[in-house]
Amino acid sequence: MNTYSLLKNKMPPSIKKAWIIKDLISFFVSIIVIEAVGFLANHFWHSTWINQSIIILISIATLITLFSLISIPYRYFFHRYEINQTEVTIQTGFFFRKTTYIPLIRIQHIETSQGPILRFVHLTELSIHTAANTHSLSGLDIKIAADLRTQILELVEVIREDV
Amino acid sequence: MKMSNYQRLHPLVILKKSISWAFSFVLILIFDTLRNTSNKSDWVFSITIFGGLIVLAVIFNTYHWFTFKYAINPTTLSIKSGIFFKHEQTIPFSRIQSVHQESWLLFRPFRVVKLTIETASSSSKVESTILEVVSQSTYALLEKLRLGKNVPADIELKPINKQHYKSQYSVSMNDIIVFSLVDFNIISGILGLTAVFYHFSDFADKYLNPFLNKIVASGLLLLISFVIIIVILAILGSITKNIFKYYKFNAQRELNHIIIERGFFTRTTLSIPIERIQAIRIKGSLLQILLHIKTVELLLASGKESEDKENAEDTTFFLFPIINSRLLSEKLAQILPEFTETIAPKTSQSFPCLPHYFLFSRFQFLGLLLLVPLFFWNNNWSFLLGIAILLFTLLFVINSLWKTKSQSSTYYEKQLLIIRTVHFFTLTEYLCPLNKIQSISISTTPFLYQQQLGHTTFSLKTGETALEIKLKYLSWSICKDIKEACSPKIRKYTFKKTKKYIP
Repeated sequence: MNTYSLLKNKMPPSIKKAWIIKDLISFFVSIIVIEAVGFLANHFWHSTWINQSIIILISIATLITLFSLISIPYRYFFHRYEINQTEVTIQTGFFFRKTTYIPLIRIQHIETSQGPILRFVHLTELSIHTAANTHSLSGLDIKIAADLRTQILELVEVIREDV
Repeated sequence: MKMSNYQRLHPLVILKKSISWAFSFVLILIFDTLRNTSNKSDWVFSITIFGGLIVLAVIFNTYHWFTFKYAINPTTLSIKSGIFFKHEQTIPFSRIQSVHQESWLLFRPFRVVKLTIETASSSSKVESTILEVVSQSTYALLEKLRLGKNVPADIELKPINKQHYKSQYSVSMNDIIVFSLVDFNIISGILGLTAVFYHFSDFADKYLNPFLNKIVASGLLLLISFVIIIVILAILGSITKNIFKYYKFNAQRELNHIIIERGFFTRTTLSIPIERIQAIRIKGSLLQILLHIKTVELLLASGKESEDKENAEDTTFFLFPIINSRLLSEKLAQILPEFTETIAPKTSQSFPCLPHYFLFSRFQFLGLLLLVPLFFWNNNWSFLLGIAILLFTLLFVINSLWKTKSQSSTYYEKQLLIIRTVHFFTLTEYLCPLNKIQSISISTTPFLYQQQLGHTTFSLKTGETALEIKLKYLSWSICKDIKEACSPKIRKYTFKKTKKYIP
């Protein structure tokens, strides 16, 4: 058995920090929501089921967050991309491995967005729109994003095709 | 362009719009009168309000007619509307995805039609411009300009000469009836009606049980005859609907456009540029395959959205609603030679898709797990339910076996990819031009990768959503080969490592 071929470029290492922050924030938000709903439910009804379901829900949220945190190194290792002369390639997933090839001439437009978490780690998210769907690279250096944009601009000059 | 070129829509638009507004008011009126039938003054009051609303509708539509202007220029279509907020729109002909012409039965003597011009304006949105009521010569003029026949805009146009077109495919009444009978819609219609019926029978069972017990013998007979009547009504309804919809269906080739005409009450004429066709889908359900017939659809980047519910399912464009499978390749070669094997018979390359019977059907067996709770749940229904679960599992397993058996893909150099798969007991063949494939993904799992297997997914744009065609459990090298064959080849391009574009 030959090994699964991985692409050249990894995300910048600081994306791991962004993922950890994102996981923790969603964990705390879900805890707060569960507690708030539980508090309101306790206020209006009286049942032992409410407290039990709160415990179950919190443990589910904790498990999901733990799994997500543990899998961050794997996610980081398998989340890769490559840009060559003709196409952008995006690779994701450890269990469900998926490689997507987007020809540069099919790209309609590119969008960069930066939420507060990504701004904290100085990265941008890059969304590549084709006529059919949108593919996103969850964290890129601002410089690399600019490079990619240049490359596509050059290619647009060479070849122009419509939907 | 000179201002004098702009012209208004036909004045009948006021009448048409007001009538359609009035129809929507009538519903409110009916509800209102049903609410309180005894009180006469109330009745008069609602009629007065209704009249007032109609007057308002007429005034608004007159204003709209007065402010809405359009002009057909040699290469563009311009539209101006509004007095306070002026809105001006210019559509280059090269951006048009398709043009629909609809003519109402009632308005046919006036030689007026409704034109819908569709453009794929952004990646997710389909935009269409509607000229509600214009004279028929406008369509002829628009089409002549679009098709590249140079006609100056001020020359008087003769109405379309029918002899000039050579009809290439048409549907007979017989075909329409067969089409309606094997259509999946009819089965779903019957299922829906029987579901409603069973719902009511359950209700009857609850409340009329003692009464029912007495007449159970005659009741059963009544029940069966009732079901038969429902089935016959559903079939007849479907046939009449399709006869009106596909009345005098006609598809023909005109230069680089395809022109499709159909319909009785509203006669629709579609004109689609060949290079705008994203893919062609050839479908054959189990029943259709037995009868040697197939259905051919055009998949476009724009999906016609209609305001009224009646045409809500009009997003598929039938090229041949029903065609004998032996005739199919011949007809397709006549109308769309771009999409047939005749273009490059020598350079075709078939990618083997070996069947994997167990891999395909393994998850279907999970349905058998539903039998476990049934074992503990003692009820006189449980036996029947168990049989139903077994049957459904068998059905799905057979479907997936058929799927793995019929999966295939053939590649024609630089032109076309033919993909064949099975969706819900329907053998589907996609003819995709290579330059319409937006992206390709290859996916796998560690388990599958160990066996050197993967899935290939093709994304195409159809309507407002993406169409994903998936070939499953191919060998890894085949996945790579397909990807390599389908990705666009770019020559004469050298990537300059310059930064001059960065501001």
